[in-house]
Amino acid sequence: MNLLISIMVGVLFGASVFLMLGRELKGVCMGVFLLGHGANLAILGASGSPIGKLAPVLEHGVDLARYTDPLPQALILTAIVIGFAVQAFLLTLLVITWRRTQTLDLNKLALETEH
Amino acid sequence: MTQATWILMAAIVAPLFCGLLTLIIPRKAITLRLIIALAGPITALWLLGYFTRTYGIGFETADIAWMPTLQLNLALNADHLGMFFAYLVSGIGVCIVLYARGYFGRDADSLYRFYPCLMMFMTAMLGVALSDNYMLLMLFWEMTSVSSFLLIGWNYNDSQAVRNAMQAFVVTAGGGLCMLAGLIFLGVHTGEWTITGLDAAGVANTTPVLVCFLLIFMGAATKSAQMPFQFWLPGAMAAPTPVSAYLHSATMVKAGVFIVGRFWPILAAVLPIWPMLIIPLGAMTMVYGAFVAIQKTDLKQIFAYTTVSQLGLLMTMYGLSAFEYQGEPNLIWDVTQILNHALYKAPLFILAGAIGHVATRELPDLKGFFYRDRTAKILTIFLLLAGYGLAAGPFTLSFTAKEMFFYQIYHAYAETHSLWFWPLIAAGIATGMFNVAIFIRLATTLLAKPDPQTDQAHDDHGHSSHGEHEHETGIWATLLWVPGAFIVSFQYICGIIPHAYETLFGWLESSPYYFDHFPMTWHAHLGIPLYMSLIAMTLGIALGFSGLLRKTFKDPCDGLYVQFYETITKDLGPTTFGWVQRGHAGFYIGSIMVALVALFLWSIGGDVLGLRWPDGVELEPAKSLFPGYLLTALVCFAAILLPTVIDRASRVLVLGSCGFAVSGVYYLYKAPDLALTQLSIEIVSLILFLLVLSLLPEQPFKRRAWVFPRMAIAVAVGAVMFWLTLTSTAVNRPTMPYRTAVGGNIEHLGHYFLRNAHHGMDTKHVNADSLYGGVVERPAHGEYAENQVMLHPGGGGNNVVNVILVDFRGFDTMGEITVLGLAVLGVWTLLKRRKKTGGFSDPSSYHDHKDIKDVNPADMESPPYHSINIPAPNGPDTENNVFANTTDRSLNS
Repeated sequence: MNLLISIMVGVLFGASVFLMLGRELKGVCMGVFLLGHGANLAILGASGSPIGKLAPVLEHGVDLARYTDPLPQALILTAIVIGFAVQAFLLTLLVITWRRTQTLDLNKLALETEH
Repeated sequence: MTQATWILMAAIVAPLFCGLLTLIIPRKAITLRLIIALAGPITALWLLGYFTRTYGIGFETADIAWMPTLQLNLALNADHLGMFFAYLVSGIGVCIVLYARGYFGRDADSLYRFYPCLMMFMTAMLGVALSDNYMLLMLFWEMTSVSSFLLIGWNYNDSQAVRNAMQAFVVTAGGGLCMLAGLIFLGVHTGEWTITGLDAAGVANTTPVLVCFLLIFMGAATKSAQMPFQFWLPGAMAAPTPVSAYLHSATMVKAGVFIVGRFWPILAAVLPIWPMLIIPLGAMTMVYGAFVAIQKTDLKQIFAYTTVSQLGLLMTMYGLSAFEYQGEPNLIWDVTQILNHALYKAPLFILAGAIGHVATRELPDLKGFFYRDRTAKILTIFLLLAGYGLAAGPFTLSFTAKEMFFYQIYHAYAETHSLWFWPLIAAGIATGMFNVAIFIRLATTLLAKPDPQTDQAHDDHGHSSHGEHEHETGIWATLLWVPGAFIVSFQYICGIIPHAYETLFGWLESSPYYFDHFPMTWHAHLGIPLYMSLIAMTLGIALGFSGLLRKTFKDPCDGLYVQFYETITKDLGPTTFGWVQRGHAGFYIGSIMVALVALFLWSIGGDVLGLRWPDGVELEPAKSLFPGYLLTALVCFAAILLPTVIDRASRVLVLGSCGFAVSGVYYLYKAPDLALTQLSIEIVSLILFLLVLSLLPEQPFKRRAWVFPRMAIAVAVGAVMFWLTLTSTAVNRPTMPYRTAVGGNIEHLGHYFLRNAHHGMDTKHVNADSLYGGVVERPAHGEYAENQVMLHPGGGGNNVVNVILVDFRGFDTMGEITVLGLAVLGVWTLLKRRKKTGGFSDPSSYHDHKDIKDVNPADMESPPYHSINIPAPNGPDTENNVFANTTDRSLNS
């Protein structure tokens, strides 16, 4: 599972960077969301393979070593929620940018800031 | 010991204290203000005198710790040179305070502003003179730069004065920064943070010491206006004349020379570069300053350049001290040299200011000034008396000082027989010649028979240029020249009566080498130095009467700063800014990503092929991994598909499918909370994204640009992240330093949370013989041993992730909620200001909301991002619904 999650992280990061380097602002936003997924999975991957382990919900008489590490999960939970907030804010900025400048082309936006 | 330090500190702080005191008395109380201001330097003088009588010069004062972590201690050095400077600063200070009263007249506002600045400088300069600790020295050193800046830019309505102030500050503070670096390096290198301690540290001619010296000398050379930094000093003449007479001739500019003098006993003999650097630089400055001075017409400019020249001479003097003559350092009466310059240059400035006050400072317009009236006669006489000192004529202190300088050159030559001293001898003669010629020209112009027309001309000039001062009359008016006359009288007293000099100043002399007694004009040895003086004087008189060098000359170095400034602010800065700040998001993201890859490569040493597959990474049996394969395929497929899809709705769906697959991965990772949260949030964000897309136009498909570079960066980043994640899964987590009471470690933080989520299993052991902070096993049946205190009662829940969020890391969750709230506020603020005209107000503009009725309707229809539209609350035409209007727009487009 470690290998699989590493592959997922690699692909998610690659795709997100490719999108973020593009000239279309919508694509950049999507890249940012993918980046969030990739980062969350990278943290999760650091907790080790889950195969043969139990979710960290305590039951009577179970050895603690059998549970997965709850800490990365707690961190990711926070990250997901904050990621959502960022997502909403970013989408609003997208709308505002379009209303103000009538373009979502980063090349044109770059020129826009110069005057 | 400690008391001595406090006495000196009191002397240092006294002027500043009095300066601040002048701020609290009424503006109109001019005389009281003058008395309080006078109290500053007089108190300082008195305390210095008390110190000298009680403890004696050279008394080793105690170091008082101030900020030891910054190596900043109150360590003072009351040796001859330091005490001399302190006396000089406060002594001349008294005269300048009086002169300022005459100069500003009844202009109460100017006096109100002037004295605190002047007093701050006085404290700073006293501090520089007496500090032994490097950091303390730097503190005062920068204070002199700041007060100099304030005083040069005195006339803040004059943009030229402000520019000159900035120029002086940039040059001297820039040098100050070099010096700070040099002193810190020196302190770190030797472990000694005082100048006197440096001697004991045994510095040797090593590269670090050399670098330190060069940096420190940089500070000294900029402060003392050595070439090519001399331009700031004539520029500083924009300051009021009391400032020019005080800071920019008698005291502050000598701080650089003073630093060199402070370090010469330690470094001059050690560093071969000392004479090789200082002598040529000083000599060049000396000749060049005098050469430019004679070609200036403004009195203050003339004296400014002769100051530059004299500073060069003083530098050369310390440079020559690196040689030996008859087994002793070749330094003759350095304190006298410094004092001599102050004794004629300060009066020159004072009287130049006085003449400028009643007439003009332009020398050609002053033809026959002597015959104007009684004041003019007095001013002319004293100006010429001081000018005679500048020319180093016989029977002045200046003559002896110049002789001694010539002796130094001659001795260095006699000892080494190096041909390199011939140019220096020529430079000394040339400088003397220019100074004599300047005096001759001053005298011939001022004493020439006036011709009536020019008389009329400079009358007008005088009134137009100094109309802003309220002229003082009576006894106060004499303050314009009395301080100058008082100071210049010492030139003649010391020049004529040798015992007077020894009584007045001789005891401050630190290096009475070569001469046992102060040599008098007629005692001067018949030798090469006297011939040099004679040649200089003869040539100078000839030059003074000749028509040579009478055209005005502009110092080419004047442009240096302007060039530097323009280059930085108009050329280099914007170019760099434009290069770095492209304004294109892709450039920024790209550079971050490239930096990430580069950092990774750097951390592995560029050895990509040498990367070893981490241990402990193996695939579990295929059966248990089947869902894993499936989800991996799904995530990867969606991620790779996303950039290739064109239709916007499909893109959002692909993005959503990726998110759903990720929540599946969470499930596989035995994280039900994450899976549930991700699932619900993914649904909401999918809807949100679709809504937003409906607000945006369907833009025509553009040809994809830069696909291959983007792909290359993307693949590289993906590979790096893949590798980092892979290795991180295989890394052994550090074990916690906590032990349970029944033996065994708490393996990692997660383990701790697991143990304590429901009920607290680990307690804090407060037994004195155990480690503080150690965690011990809770005893059975809830019974605590006497020496154990329970740290927390446990989270009281079975879902550990949940307990972490709301209990252990509750504050994190609160922060998270705050972020959410802020995001909501941000979204709301951005979207709410909307009108039917379709414009959004600029949140960065500060239009007054009350003016909404005054806004011209035409403005409302201007392009959206320039319009002002603030919705009236609950007004009929405001609609906080974001979507209604823009759906129309997207339908239209």
